[in-house]
Amino acid sequence: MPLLALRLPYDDRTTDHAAAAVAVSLPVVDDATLIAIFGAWLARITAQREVPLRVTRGDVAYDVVLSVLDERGRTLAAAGRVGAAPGLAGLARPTAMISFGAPGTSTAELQLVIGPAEARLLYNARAFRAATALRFAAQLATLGCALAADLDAPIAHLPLLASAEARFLDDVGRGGPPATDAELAPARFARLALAEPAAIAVRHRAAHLTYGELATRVNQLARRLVATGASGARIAVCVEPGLDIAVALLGVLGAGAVYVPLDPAYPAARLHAILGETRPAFVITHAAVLARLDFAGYPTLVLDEPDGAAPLAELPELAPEAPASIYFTSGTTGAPKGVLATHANLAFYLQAARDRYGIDAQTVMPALARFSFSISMFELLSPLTAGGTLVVLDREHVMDPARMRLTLREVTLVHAGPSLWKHLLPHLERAPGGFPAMRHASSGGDLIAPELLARLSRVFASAEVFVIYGSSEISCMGCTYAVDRDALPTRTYVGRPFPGVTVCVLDAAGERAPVGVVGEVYFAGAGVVAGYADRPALTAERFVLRGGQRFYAMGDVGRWSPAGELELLGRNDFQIKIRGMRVELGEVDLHLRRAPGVADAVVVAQAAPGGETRMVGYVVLATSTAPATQLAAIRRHLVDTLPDYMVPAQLVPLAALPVNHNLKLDRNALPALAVRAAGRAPESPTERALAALWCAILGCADVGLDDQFFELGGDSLLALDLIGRAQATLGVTVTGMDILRESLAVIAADCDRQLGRAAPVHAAAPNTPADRVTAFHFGPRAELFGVLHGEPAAAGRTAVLVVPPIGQERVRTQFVLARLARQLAAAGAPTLRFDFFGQGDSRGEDVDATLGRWRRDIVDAHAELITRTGAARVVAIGCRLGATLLATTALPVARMVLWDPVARGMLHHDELAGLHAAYLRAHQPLRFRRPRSPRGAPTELLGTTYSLAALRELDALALPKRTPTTPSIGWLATTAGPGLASRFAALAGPDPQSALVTLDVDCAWHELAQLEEMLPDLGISRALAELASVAA
Amino acid sequence: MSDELAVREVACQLGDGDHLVGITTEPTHAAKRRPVVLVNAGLVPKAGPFRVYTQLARQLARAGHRVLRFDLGGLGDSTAAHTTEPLRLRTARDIRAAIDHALAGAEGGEGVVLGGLCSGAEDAYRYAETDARVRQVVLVDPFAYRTARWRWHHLVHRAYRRALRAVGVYQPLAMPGPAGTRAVRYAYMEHAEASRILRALLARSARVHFIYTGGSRDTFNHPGQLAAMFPGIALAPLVTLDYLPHLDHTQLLKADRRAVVDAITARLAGP
Repeated sequence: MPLLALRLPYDDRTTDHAAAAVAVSLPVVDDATLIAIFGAWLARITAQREVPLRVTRGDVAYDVVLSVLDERGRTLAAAGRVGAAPGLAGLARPTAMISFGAPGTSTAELQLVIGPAEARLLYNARAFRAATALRFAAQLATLGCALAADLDAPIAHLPLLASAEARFLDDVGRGGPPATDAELAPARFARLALAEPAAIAVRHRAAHLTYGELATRVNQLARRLVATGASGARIAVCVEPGLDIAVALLGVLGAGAVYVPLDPAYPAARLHAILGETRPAFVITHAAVLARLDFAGYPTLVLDEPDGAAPLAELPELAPEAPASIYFTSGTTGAPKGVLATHANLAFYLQAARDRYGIDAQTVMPALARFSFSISMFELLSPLTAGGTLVVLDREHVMDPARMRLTLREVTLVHAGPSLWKHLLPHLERAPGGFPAMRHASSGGDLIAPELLARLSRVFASAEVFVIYGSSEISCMGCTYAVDRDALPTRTYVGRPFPGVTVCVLDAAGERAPVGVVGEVYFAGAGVVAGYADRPALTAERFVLRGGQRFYAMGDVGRWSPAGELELLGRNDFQIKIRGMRVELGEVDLHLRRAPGVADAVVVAQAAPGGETRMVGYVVLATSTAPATQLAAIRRHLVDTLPDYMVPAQLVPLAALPVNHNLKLDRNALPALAVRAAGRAPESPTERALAALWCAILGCADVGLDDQFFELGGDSLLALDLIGRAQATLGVTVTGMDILRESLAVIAADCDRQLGRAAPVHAAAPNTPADRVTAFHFGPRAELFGVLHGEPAAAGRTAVLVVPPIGQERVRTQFVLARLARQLAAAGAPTLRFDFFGQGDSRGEDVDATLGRWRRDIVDAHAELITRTGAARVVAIGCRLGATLLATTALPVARMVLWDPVARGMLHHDELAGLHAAYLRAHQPLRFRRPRSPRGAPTELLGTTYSLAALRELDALALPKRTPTTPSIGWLATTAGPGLASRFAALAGPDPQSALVTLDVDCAWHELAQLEEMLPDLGISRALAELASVAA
Repeated sequence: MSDELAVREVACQLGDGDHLVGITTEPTHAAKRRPVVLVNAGLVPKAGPFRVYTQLARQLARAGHRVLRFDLGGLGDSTAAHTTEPLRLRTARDIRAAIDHALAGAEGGEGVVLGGLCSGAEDAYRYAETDARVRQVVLVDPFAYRTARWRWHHLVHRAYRRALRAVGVYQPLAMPGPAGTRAVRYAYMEHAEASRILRALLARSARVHFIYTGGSRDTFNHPGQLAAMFPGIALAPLVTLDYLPHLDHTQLLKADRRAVVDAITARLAGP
């Protein structure tokens, strides 16, 4: 086949590659075939770009636009969506072009210039690196030769990888030779116990077992199990954290039985489902667990009860291929599926971790994961098969940042999922002295944001920081990424495979995807498990043979970086059609996750009014700062990177994505689209057009004429979006402040004026009695300022007392609490809002206040409300510190509603001090360094001055536990977090009227950037009103 | 506190149907000085950012002024009224009602002082053009327009900040969203409008006092800039300026709030 040399432009950027480029050749074919080659190659490489090559014309988005020019630069043809080639003449700036004779003057990002003696691939150096362009050239040549040889071949199956790139992928995808003859875990433990019997093996609270003691108990349990004929059988282990987890796990493995962990916190239905799937010979448990759980008649072995003279038998010889464990994970159908691993898999798992992370006899490692997750094997057995020490922690301990801060000073190696790190890090970052003993800190189990790795690196200054990527099906140790402190990652890398592991990224046709091309991640190697227990069909579906190797399809989407690091981008399970166009939800997921400020996200298809399907993106924001503002930035990112039909119609912020019990996404638990009940409907064309813009930006189903942007959740950045869209679609200019403070009707009328149209005349919005307010001072010395909403006469009815936060949080919540008061008043409950002494519009100075004084203010406000209204029943609603003060004040109220109460005054103090210092660092750098105030002097915290007495009271403040006089509790959590349920339970007790409601919004209490931002309603007032149950 | 003994704070309601809520702060003895009305700073209620309006009102009351700080309709404790009208009309209507209330029974001579911070400053300034009863306006961080010397000072300050950052003293605040798109920039009034209003105020001998803090550094960064912003308008003696570059826009620190309060008090005590 005649060939045509293909060169890259020769300049200083490409000097190193010029020689290589000479070796790349295109086939000499007719022009039409050449165009087809170029088009086919473009179609295959578009996924290599972060921003796909695309152009939108009208409602149609074209993946690639290709323009063909003659020698004089005139357009001969243009094609959108390469391969289909519908006529699309007149494009001003094609994205890619092919020209004959001389380079065109277009600013196309890629241009193939065909001359009589050679071809040149020109590229936009701002869009592509030289190395990328060189790879493009090689791919183009490879594909071109293949296509020229068989013009009828499907494009998707044409080879794309040049030999050099294929070798590169081979190198980075193989983790090197596996460890030979990895010792099985029970034998390795027994050998270490024999060698160092006095060494501490496991600790829990103040108790511990030495290797000798643990080995004795393990041996006893194992021999007892063998004597009962359990060898080879499945044994469920359902124990709370304690020393016994080590005994049970090693005992079951040593007996040659199959370890099946059950979480005592599982719902009964799930427990029974797993027991039904597993049919265990025994359930090993504790008496306390047995007392509250029903094991459906399966025989139990209670570890903390005397076993009398149970018969013992000799331990069997273990075969590497014998099953060792079954971990249950949720399936996409919601039914749990058991991952069956062998002893060989487990030996690989532990050896890979030991070798890569240097786990040895000096290692002290806490077990943070629930035992029902396969990553717990890493935590439980890594130290015990290396002579180190396992530290077992109670769940409450793991979730308590203060206790974890102490624990992490004592351990040397720690692994946690990103969610737990996000919970702990804010507290660890303030720990004086750091964590000098820590040698290894890692995370995994989910996409790990680069910011998280940076924070881990800062907190654990003496440790190596890793990402660990894997799943139960590959024994968890798939890839690992070591964070370089000098070059922190900017992408969600998971690194390179462990020894003995092969990883590849396959495209839709099952071919290896080139560097940068997105595909599905597959693993092979010693960690790949036997399959799913009793599920041969599912096993065959997910475990596939390729080139003689058994691969597991992870279902994750990833790609190789030019440096040979695997980058994880999300899941790739779902495909839908939007307005007839095919959309891979995984692709939208990918872009949504990559949007600025997104910690986690999922896109789902939901039915929209009219029978259409529309996408909804559920987003977990990386920071709690201005959620509405961040959503606007995310939307802009999507609009900038995806065809419009692929941009979700609505973005919904969530505190966390709902998960089922195995921590997999529970799509059924995602909230449905919010449908808003509108008031007066928009009528004129301008009103309707503006309303449509509001709906699109705010994600409402509809809006009314009297609605205000801010009240619907809008903020200044969303207003910016509205300004741009109003200008683009209506040709009008609206100002940001107007948007934030005007109703839709007023803004529409202003738009009509600009357009020279007559604005419709609407009847004024009626002033309802709910809008009636009465302002006054009250209290023994008339020092407190209050506003009563609604008609004051409420004899025999319910009235509501609103207890505000302190300081700047009072300002931030003012809008929401005033709106709440109006709603309650409209519902017939007069509502009193007031300011504490030294706060807001009350008299006095903040420095003269104490928490005791503020509690008396609550009592005075309650008395004032009764006096003014004659109400028979009072419901009190408190927010933040006000809520905690309310909960610690003896007040005869029928119900207390607490919105994000401050759980511990000392932590709140710390947070305020941290924010204050950060603010000064940003705005008053020299003041930040000024000498500290004299001991005992008042302290300024974010604009509020606290006396020493007030700070002492604050530090001692904590939410109380339930007493006989505690009323029913309504708790609104807009800051979800660990320990929430237990705090609620401690305060509410068994009271059936009490309720905990978590709203998926984030008020960003601790975000400096939100310090001076008014909190939009976000549905909070309605949730508080519902919790208040004023009609009761 | 002794301050509390010298002044009296009274909750009040004003406007159509008493929909506006305010606080009148006045000396326990007769108020001898011109009443002062304060307009909301942005969306912050009538106590002002970090309560600076409360502190200002108390200090001015001790100096003999009757001060009304109130919430515009829809802000703070005030309910929205006339919502079918554009915001500027509603704002003007609300400020007029506040001035009516402040002057009712006042003994402090003719007219009022109208002031505010940020958007409150502009609302006050814009309204002042339409009401001759406004004899003095006090504007904290209002509109400003960059000049050639602004650029020079900006470069110097940027170098200073970089030096502070290099030694670890300064840590800029990370804001959400892409740079420059964090928020709707408050649309400060156009230069032409500001010039027109200033001419109108000076023509009727109204005083205008500007205070710029370091929070306005993006648009105002040296004391000579005020005159340069309005060439052709003779500012002295009716237009005065306090430039407080060491303060931030909303004065987080108590000492900074006191600096602003003292500056305003001193100006109002002047001729």
